[in-house]
Formats: sequence, C-alpha cells, structure tokens
Amino acid sequence: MPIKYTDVSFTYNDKTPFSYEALRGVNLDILDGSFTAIVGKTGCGKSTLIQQLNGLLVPSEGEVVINQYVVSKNRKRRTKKIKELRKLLGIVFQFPEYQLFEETVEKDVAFGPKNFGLSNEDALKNAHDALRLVGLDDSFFKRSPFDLSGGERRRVAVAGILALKPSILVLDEPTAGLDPRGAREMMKLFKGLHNNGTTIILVTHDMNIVLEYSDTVIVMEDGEVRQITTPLRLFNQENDFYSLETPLLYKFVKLLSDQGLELNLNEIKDIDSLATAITKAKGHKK
Amino acid sequence: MKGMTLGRYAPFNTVIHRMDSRSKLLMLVLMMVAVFYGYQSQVMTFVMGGLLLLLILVVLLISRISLKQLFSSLKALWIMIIILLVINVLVPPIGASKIAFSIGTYNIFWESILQSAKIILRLVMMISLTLILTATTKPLDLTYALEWYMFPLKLIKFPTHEIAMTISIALRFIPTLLDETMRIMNAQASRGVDFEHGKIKEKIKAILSLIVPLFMSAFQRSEELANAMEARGYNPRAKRTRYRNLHWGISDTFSLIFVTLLTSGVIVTSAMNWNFIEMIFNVSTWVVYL
Repeated sequence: MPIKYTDVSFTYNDKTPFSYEALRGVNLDILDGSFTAIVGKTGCGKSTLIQQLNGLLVPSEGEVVINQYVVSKNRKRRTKKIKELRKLLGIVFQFPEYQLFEETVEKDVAFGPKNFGLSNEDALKNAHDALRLVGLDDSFFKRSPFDLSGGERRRVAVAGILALKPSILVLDEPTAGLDPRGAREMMKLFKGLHNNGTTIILVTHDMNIVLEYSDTVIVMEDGEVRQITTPLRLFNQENDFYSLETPLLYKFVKLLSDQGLELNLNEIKDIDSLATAITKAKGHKK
Repeated sequence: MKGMTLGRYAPFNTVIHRMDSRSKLLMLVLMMVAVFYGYQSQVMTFVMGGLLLLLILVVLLISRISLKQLFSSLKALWIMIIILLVINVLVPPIGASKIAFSIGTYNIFWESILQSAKIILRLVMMISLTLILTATTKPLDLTYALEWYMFPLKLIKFPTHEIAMTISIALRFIPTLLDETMRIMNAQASRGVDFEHGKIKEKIKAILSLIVPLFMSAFQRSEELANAMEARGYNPRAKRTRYRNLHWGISDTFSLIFVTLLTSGVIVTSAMNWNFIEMIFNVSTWVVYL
C-alpha cells in the first residue's frame, strides 16, 4: 500500500479570522502502479489534497503515509527525510511553466536533480533524457526558457520533474491551457510512464481524459472524498450531483448499447477501441 | 507565510471598523504626537504614557484585536528593542548621576534604564496605534483617505488621483503576489530546493529560483492589467465616481474632537510643565493653580 491517507483534515490559516477548512476527514488508499484521477469542482480541496503528499502542507489532523515516509504533525511519527520523499514523489503543479528561471533549458531541467545531490554531468544527462522524453530535441537544450512558446515551456517544466525520475508522479491539471494536440501528446507521455511502472495521480476537470487513461477515480466535494470508484462505474451513475460532465465517447457508447448493439463497455477507452468494438459487434473481420 | 497576517485587515464589524478612514488616519497622526511628547519630570512621562497606553489598549480591545496579535507584531521589533537597550545602557544620557548597579568598573545609571523603558513604551504605543488603523481599515479606504487629504495639491495640478490609483493597485496586488510566491516556493520545493537550510551559495540559488519567476509573473501581470485598463478606456484625467464613498459619521466627529482635546491637553501639559502628581499630592500648589 504505497499511499494511505488516514483521517486527514486540513485548515488554512488555522486560528485566525481567515481560517478555512479545506479537507475534512479524508481516508483513502492509492495503489502502487495505479493511474488515479482526482476530480471535483474548483475549490473542493484537490490541490490541497495533493500538497500533503510531499509534505508541502502538513495535515492539521491525521496523517499521510507514502511507502515508509509519514507526513504528520506528530513529531515522533513524521519523517525526517522529507527530501528523499520529494525525490520519490514528483509533483507537477498547475501552470508549471512559471517556475522556470535558469538561462538555458537544460540548466533549468538539471536544477532539480542537482538539488538532490547528483553531479553536474549526471544531472545534465538526466535533463537531456527528460527533455527528449517530453518531445524537445537537442536544438532546445541551449535556448533560454523565456524564448519558448507556452506549450514548450510547459514541457520544459514537466521535464524538470521527470528528470528526478520519481516513482510516483502527481500532476495538477497538466493539460489546462494546452491546445488539443499538445494535451494529447502530454497525456500520451504520462501513459507511457505509467506503462513503465510509474504510479500516476492526476488532478483534472477533463472527463474524457479520466475515461481514457485512469483506472481509479476519486471524487471530491467540499473537502471530503465522496467516492472512490472506476471511471465506468462513475459515468454509469447519475453524475449531476457532482456536476461532472459525462464524456462524449461514453454517452455515444451508452446510446449504441441502449439501441441494441452489444458492446463491452470495459474495453472502450478511446476512438480506436470504439471502432474495434463496433466492428466486432457487427461481426465483420478485418 | 504565517507572519503575513500581521496588521492585516480583519473583517469584523465594530465601531472602530465602521468609522471613516479619514478620521482614523487623522487621529492616528494626532495620537502619535501625543505619544511622542516629552515631559521634564520622569514620573510625569510614565504616568502620562501609562494613561495613553491604557486608552490605546481599550481601543485595541474594542476593535477586537487580540493581545496575541499585538505581541506577535512586537516580536518583529525585538531586535530593535535590544539594540536600543544596549545603546542606551552603554551611552548614558548627559547628566546621568544615579547609579543603579555596576558591572565591574562599568556603571549602569538609572537614567539609562528609564530612558530605555520610555522608548519601549513609546514603541509599543506606536505599534498598537498603527495596528488599530491597519486592522480596522481596508487598505483601499486608506488610499482614498490619502487621496482626499492630498486635495490641496490638486490645485497646483499635482496628479493626486494617479498616485492614489498607483498605491491602490500596489496594495491590491500584495496578496496576489504573496500567493504567487507561495506557489513558486512550493513548485521549487518539489524540485528539491530547501529555502531554510543550506550553504550561502545554495541559499542564493534558492532565492534566485524564487525571485526570477516572481518578477516574470509580476511584469506579465502588470502588462495584462495595463491592457485591460486601456481596453476599458481608462483615462486618469477623467472625473470618476466610486462604488463605495467615504462616509463621515457622528462618531467620527466626536472621536476626532476627543482626540484633538487629548493631544492639545498633552501639549499644554508639557509646554506649561504642569505636574499632576505634585498637584495631587501637594494641595497647597493645587490652590495656587486654581
């Protein structure tokens, strides 16, 4: 059980007139190697929830356990090796392109690995690998991050976390503000990482992404976890309560199966698998 | 960012909160004068100071500022207080004669101790007064008050409105930039930056990783804001109305009269060198003064 939240509550500006309770009694487990999506309205506590994961915020009550590391207020229980935890668990925040500051792209990406004690050479090697992974070729390495387009800057920022080679990757709306193609490529990248064994935790508003990529969905509302389920089960129920949009693909498949086409809902994740499923149902062969 | 809540506007609804920002600002200035007025006799200084402090504490409680808040604001000043104490003890005032105690051959005078106590008393009063103003007045209202007091400058074509606008925009963006700072710090901490520990060189790098993105986003924000204002046809010279107008009430008049009387009382007492303590204890002088 790599990640476990036990009765986690969190209050911002505790004991001041500005206090605000962002999380209330959260209990949840995230399995090793899963692709977990966290969904919910803006302001429901998603971002607060993920910031507990590497000790940026410490629960006001309860504790979060990540492998052997404990994030808690309790001095005896909490981990002293917060840096190791941050190397294990990489967080890509919303609009990460604003965290760039170095003169060149490669230096910026190598900044993280260097902070975790890698030599200059190893850090640069990690940086180059990560940059190629996000689809930026060698011509970008020596350029200034401030000369790049928004989408390219986002990739550099993501590479900055990937260069740490985290085994758990937490993403806060990584596709927000990207053009559809850029978003698709970004998600493909994460899918590839997931296939290679990285645990992915994704905060998103895009239900199409939830259906296509995730295997577990955590639904949050008003600082509480309302449901932990699979995408199919989530979209199969009345969702208006959580104000979540049902993905178009799912609506279409639902209509098809309502009208008599025999489809296995579990197999359909994107357009390709839909096409295959329809051909199969119609009895045609390739 | 725990310390950032110090002196911040707290949205309560007390008499002090409801008062006009112009009267509060003027009263702050008057009270400061009263606080910093000196007297010839040491006893008078402390008695008057104590009375003023009592009054200030009462107002503090009315405006629902906790004493804890006051102490945490003072905490930021304790280094200054210590430096003042040390200087005062090491450099005794002219004419100091009463030795309190000696460390080796060095004499510590009563005068220096009293002098330091006086300064601390005044600092506490000054901080409390400012705290009352900033915790009970919205920053924007304060700017309006400043703009209002600058009206004589308008006659010589001084751009009072532009200055008020600049100040209010700056105030408006303080919380935004603080949030931004928090965000960038979190992002860099996730990349292994340690803002608290580390060698000087690492610390400089850590600060750099915060400052550069912060500046970038601040400049971008200012450009966006300028564009948005221009797109809506903002013209600094145009006559404009306000959503919320300052409103001078009866409580403003009365409290201003009270504070004015208080301050003039303090000035007169000091200038005439009246000594209430002697007067109270010495009935014969009482009669003479009557």
